[in-house]
Amino acid sequence: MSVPTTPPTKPTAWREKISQWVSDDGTRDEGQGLTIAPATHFSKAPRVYPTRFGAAFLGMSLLTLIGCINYQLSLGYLVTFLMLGLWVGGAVGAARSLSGLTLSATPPPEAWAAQPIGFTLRLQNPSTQPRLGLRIRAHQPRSAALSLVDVPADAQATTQVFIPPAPRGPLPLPRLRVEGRDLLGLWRGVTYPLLRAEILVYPQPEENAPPLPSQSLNEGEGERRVNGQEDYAGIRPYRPGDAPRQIAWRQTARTGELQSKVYDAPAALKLRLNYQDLRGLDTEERLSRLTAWVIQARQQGAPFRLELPQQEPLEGSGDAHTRRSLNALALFGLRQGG
Amino acid sequence: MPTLTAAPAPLPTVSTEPLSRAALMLTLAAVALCVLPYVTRMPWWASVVTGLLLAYRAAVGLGRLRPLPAAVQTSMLALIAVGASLGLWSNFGTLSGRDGGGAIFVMLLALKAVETHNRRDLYVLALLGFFVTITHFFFAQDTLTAAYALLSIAALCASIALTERPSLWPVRADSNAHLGQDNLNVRSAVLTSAGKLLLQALPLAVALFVLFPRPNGPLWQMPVASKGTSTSGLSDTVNPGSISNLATSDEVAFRAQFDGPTPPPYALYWRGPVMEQFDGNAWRMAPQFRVAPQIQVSGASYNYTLTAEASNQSWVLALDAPTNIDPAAGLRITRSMQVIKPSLIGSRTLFKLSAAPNYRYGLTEDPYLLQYNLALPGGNPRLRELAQSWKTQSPLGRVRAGLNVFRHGGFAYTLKPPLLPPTNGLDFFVFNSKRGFCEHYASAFAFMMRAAGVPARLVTGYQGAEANGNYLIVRQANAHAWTEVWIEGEGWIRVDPTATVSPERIRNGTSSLPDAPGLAAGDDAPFQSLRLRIDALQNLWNTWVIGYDGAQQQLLFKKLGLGDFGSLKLVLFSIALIALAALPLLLRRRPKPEPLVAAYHLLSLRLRLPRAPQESAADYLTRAAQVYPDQAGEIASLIQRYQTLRYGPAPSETAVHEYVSAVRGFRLKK
Repeated sequence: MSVPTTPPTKPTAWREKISQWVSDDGTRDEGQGLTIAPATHFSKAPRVYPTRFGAAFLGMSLLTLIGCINYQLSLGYLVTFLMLGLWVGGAVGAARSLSGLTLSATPPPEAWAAQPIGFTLRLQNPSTQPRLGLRIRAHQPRSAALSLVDVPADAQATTQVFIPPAPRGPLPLPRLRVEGRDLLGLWRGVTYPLLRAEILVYPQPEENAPPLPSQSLNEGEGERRVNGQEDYAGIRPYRPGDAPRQIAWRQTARTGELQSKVYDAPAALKLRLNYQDLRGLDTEERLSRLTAWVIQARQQGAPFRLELPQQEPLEGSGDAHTRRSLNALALFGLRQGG
Repeated sequence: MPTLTAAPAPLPTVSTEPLSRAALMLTLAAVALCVLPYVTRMPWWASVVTGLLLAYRAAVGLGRLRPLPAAVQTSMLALIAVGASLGLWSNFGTLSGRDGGGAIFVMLLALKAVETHNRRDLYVLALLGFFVTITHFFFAQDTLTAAYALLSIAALCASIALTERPSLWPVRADSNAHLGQDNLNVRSAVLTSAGKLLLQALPLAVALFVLFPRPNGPLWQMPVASKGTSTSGLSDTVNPGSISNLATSDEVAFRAQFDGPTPPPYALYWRGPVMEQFDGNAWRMAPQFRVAPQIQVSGASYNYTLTAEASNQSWVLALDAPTNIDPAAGLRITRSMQVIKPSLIGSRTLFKLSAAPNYRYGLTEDPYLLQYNLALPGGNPRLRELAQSWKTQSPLGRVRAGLNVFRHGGFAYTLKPPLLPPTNGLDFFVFNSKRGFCEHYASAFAFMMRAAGVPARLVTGYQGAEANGNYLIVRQANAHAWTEVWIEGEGWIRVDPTATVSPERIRNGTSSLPDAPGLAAGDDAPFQSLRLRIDALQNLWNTWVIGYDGAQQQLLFKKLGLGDFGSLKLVLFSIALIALAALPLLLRRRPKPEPLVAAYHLLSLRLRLPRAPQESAADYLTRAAQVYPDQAGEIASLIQRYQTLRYGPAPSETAVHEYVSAVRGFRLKK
């Protein structure tokens, strides 16, 4: 089973293709942030286009030019050419509005499917020219949410960039569209940086989910124990997500591999959140409900055990355990088949 | 809420684009500045309504006034629009052209200002402001108007820049902490950079102004000025007193610049309206026939450029006799040798003309026209009787007899003649008062000629000029009236009876009159030379800025040795000039590095050891000492001094200066 991590692109939309070609600057964020090249280089970015107002401004100056030619208004020519000079200056200003900026993105602490996701964007301006009124939004897929940000001279600023709701699973930050304008707003300089930042999108929690199941685990199995923090139970190989204080340093030093100490608690207190028990729901609905329950359990501070098919059950409590469970839910069914 | 750490923020979108109060106020102020000169050109009520509309929008924007309900406001605006159109129509007789069109445009602009709700409306207002700024040039193109236009454009640019800056919008979508604290700083920075941008664009505008090809003729004809607005100058009627009123005005009527030598003063008759209709008191223009007159030219002709001031009349004061009328400029000539521009001269205009002072014209004149020029109404019996007594003489003898009346009759030429009675005024003038101005003499002489059977008519225009450098200034004080008589075999001959009474008038102009008040007297007047110098500057502006047309452009290119349009030299020159003019726009001023940092950089150059970007001074010192072990001590002291100056307590200016000169003095050995 494979769920695409980004919505399928319309296959034959030539506009989409052109948009993709246009927006591919050939620049990639290698983890250090991405610096926008000066527009004077023969690069694809940033490119400048007149704004709607810029087009109207040009139209008005051409209109006055015709009037001046007809009525031989010599000073009118001067004013018209001053307008054209401002227009040309606008193109230069727009091209400079972005060059030299360094962008880098960090993902939010967590993200949920079917909800807009806000990445934090950091903009560094090493120049002495303030960059005012930058407009930033997700480009592919396009987001209506526009972030406005000013970056003062020789300073940095941060802003949130919201990308459209995405399905659960790993989600790299899509290509952004960064627009700067000249002083008069006659031109826009546009670049489409692809920044390195990724977030694992958790399944959408079911709204008004039924209350947590109250069944206990000891069904004819007698005494069972689950992960907990009460009693020391033994040693197992380190798993990502284990707390540093859990690491058994002596055993680690002996074996050469990281080892974790395992604690457990009586199983009778544990919640059991089982995928298979949720009948009559499809995969996403089940994951959605399980997610809602995991959150409820975390809010109540209750330890729980999450059982997903073909995976080892996850038992425990606390933030780390919750996060591990949500990761498992987010990735469920996605990693098979490589 | 499914959160572990924070709720997802509500989506910020910029869809409504609300108005910033500062941008609205500045735009309204800029628009008010743009339309202000129209106060003198619109009826008073139109100015008041325009001002009230702008003030209303400003008061609503500031929150001082609650806006009217939308429906009420819209219907009131519609009412004002209709009322203004009707009012302006009845005032100007039209809603197009310079006066009516300009006024209605200004009022509609004010109405639009009231209906301003979002940023796009502000942009529209600003663009219309640019348009209004250009319309001022239909009225005047002097330096003051140019400076005012520049000021308007600066204000418009500032308002656009303020409208454009989203960080100044009242509802901010993002939440950057640094912005809230100094909105004011951002605002003033925006305004300063708008001014800078304008200054940077100016050289390019000037380069384009010089290089842009100027067509000679208009693309289409449309009257610009409407009739009814009067400026001082000649009119189509001559009453006794109408020209002497002008004689006290030193307002400039036109200027003329001759390509070669200037014609002598006695030939400087600038022909204006020709009056052929006499009602006993006033002379009027007869219907004009646009039939080319028959002019026979002998001798030299003069080419000249005439820069007419706005007169709101159609006649061009060409020097007698006009030859080579430039049809491209839309000029025509009438049967009475008057040069006419079909549209009114509503602003300062340049004409390229030529004249031949030795001429004969109208040798075979239409008998009907001659009859027309003999018609006399009743009245003035004594003068009529005197003239009829000459009928036995030859036509030329009758002319001489007429002039002799003035020559030997004890007549005086004066700017303040006594008032003539409404009936038999000419009788009173010739036989009683004997004191008059040129129109009195011309009128009485033409009357006598007609009574004696010689076709005669009155010609008004200007006579003489004031020389200033290489051009002539003709003022309203030069306004003059003379006569033309028609004699078989000779055609129309100019006879100036004023010349027989006061030859100085023709030689020296009205300034020679003892009772000429407020006129530039002799050369010894203290402000005379200054006045002429200012006028010379004015003439320069007229020729090279206002009158910069196709011909002038070609003249300039020729003077610069660039050849005609299309020549390689001119193309290269144009490219170079435009590139040079665009330089201020393209150049980015790098901030000057601190002297200390610059000196440190100089040290690295002297050592021929480029510094790595993040290299510390200590590391660099080690490296330099390894390369130049001989001078290690000197280098070490320089680098250490740099460290203490730069990173220690703030150094004094002299300490920095000493360090800089120390680095400058450093040389590598060998």
